[in-house]
Amino acid sequence: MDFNFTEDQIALKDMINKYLTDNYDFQKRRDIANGAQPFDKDFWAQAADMGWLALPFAEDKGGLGGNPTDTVLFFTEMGRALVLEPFLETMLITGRVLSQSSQPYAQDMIEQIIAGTLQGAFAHGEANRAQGYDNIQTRIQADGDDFSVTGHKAVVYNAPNADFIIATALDENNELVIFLADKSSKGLRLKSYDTIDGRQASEIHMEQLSVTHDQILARGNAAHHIVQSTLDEAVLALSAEYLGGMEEMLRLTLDYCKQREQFGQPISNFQSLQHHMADMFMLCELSRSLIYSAAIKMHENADDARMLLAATKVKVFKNAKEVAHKAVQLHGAIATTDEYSVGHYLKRIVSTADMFGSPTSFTNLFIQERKSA
Amino acid sequence: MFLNLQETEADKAFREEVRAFLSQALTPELIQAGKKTTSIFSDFDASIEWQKILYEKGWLLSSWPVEHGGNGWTLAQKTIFETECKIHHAPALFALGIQMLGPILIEFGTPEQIEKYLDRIASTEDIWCQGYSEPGAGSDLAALKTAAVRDGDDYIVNGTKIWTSYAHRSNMIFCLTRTSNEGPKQAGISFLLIDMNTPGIKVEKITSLDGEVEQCQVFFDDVRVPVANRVGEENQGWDIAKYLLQLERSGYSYFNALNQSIYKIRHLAEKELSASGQEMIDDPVFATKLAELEMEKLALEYTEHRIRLDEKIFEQNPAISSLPKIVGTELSQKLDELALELRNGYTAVQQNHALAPGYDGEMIGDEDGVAITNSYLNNRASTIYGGSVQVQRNIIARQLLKS
Repeated sequence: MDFNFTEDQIALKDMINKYLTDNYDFQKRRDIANGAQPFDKDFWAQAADMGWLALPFAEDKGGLGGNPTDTVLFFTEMGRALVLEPFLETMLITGRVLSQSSQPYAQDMIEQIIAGTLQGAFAHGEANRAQGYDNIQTRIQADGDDFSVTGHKAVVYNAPNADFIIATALDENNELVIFLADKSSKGLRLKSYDTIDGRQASEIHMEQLSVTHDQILARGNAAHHIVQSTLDEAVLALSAEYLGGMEEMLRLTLDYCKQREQFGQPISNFQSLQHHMADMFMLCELSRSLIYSAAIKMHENADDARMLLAATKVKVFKNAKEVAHKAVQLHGAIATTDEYSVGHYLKRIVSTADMFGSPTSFTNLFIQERKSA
Repeated sequence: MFLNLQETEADKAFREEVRAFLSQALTPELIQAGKKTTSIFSDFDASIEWQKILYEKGWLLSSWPVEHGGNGWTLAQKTIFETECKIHHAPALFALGIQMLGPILIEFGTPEQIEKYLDRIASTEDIWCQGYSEPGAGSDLAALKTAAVRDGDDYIVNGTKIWTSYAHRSNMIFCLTRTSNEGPKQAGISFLLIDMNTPGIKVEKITSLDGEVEQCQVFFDDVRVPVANRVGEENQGWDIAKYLLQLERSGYSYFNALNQSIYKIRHLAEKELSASGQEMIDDPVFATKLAELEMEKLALEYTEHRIRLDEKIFEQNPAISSLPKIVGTELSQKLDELALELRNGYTAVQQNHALAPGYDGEMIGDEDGVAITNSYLNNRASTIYGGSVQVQRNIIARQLLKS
């Protein structure tokens, strides 16, 4: 096991980091979040030009053939800069689903994603039960030559602005079906809203939504496998985002405490504060170890890969929230304002707590995987 | 990142060789001593017996250079051996001589000292204890006062050392002593080797919370120590202590011991029943608590792998060196607390006699849990000794704030 990034990976990381440092500072991010446009279309086009959107796709699909450790590297940088643009939803989740579908048009959509001209949203988690990979109650039924779908998908990030939506449902035999949902259909209603992490999402209500055979991307075991492998990697990406955020919050906190003077001295002199800084550092490093090893195990298809992934989802979220709480506390009042960045890391962490499954459901997964180990 | 999790064929063969050896070399008494271990030390006599067996086999000295008797194992082989020893319930070694003094002599000792002491450390002819802490010098170790005053070819030593593990079973002690009061307090310390049978030495045993004696206080009253027994230069003692600390931080890991603790908890939780009659391991509240701690253990385990495998990690990230000690000891205490929940009231029972390796009489409560209370009580010390977790946090913060 080697935890070092390759030279190519370090070069890629430095390139992304430099670009975001020069072009995507917190003020810029704030302007985007508060502006009329949901995100920065010029930045998205530049990301495509720089090849970022090609990263996770296989080389024979026109991508760069990235593996899970590349995913970790990329999303750590996205998390560090709190990037608002829908990389997770588009290139990782819907991109991965499309690249495993046998529909002939899927490749064309992938090429458009890589070119930056197409954006997606994945409608999977539902409103009536705790979120998890398998908690699906949306139904798809045969309806003449086509199908009809009824169900309610909850907090679908990027749905208001996506060019296409990929959704899931269970058929008459309780088999999973993945399909393209047409946003313009009359059976599909979006209730859209802003999220506390500066983005937009929707409740998606499907009532006898008509779906054709062509719109079916996968079904049965194949569909189940696609959802699991895709969301496993999405969990890794989200955890990596938290890691980037934790690193940045620690850096900001150390800088701030060295400069801020009270009682006639920098507050970094106070031992009670120093111990919180040490804890922030340890939570950050422990999280990094979980994320890196989960990425390595996933790439290896190791038997304990999902156990490590479950631990990653639960612990890295918990650690990130704790680091954010400590960062706010050590900064004092300034970090409770909208104009300072630290609180926005906190909001991203809290708003995505249940994304792809709650900490409770992943704790259950861990217990189950540990038992069968 | 590279992705090579598979053991090499040579490592697999080595693991098989270790397993075969352990299943033959570990007598039932030694296994009992391993299972009944309630601290970082096992039953003293069992530890010494086990060390002799490993010495004979040539498997004792994995951390010493080959030219000084080391067995030349790779990092992977060391890890395999440690892990298998834990799995097979080998007793812990009483290894202050092997782990601490040996590397110090090899780095700082004279050829005469190396010739005289090194093999006797390994063979158990000498049992060494460590004289660092004093009543007035715990976390602030450099405040130590035990004085060594030059008198011809001797030092005359006066003062006292405390929390000296197994001083009552040792014939030698290595000590940090004060040889100068000039300049910073770190600059006046010398490292001395002292024969415990020298006139003027008195040892008093200290009974710990668990009712056992592991710790002692050692008193020095005009004790004559030849200057030839000083390791390194006069007043170089602090550098020697720091060298050892660095060595320990890169070589020591907690995950094997934590895995063993988790193994014991899971084993017992499959036998003990909850109020509703299900196995404790399936009780959702208990299972959740255990899962939380196992996840924390995984985070530490892979951090320790990162530290072992990444040669540049301390250079690039110096603050990480204190992490395993803090997280490892705090986590071990949380696991001990959880284990208490499996005793169903028998936490209260004082039965230290049942922890002796040869004991085969009656035990109160499930016999697999008989060591739990003592382990919990003894392990309260782990976040204090070797630099308390608060001092370790100070060290991390100092590193973080430096840049």
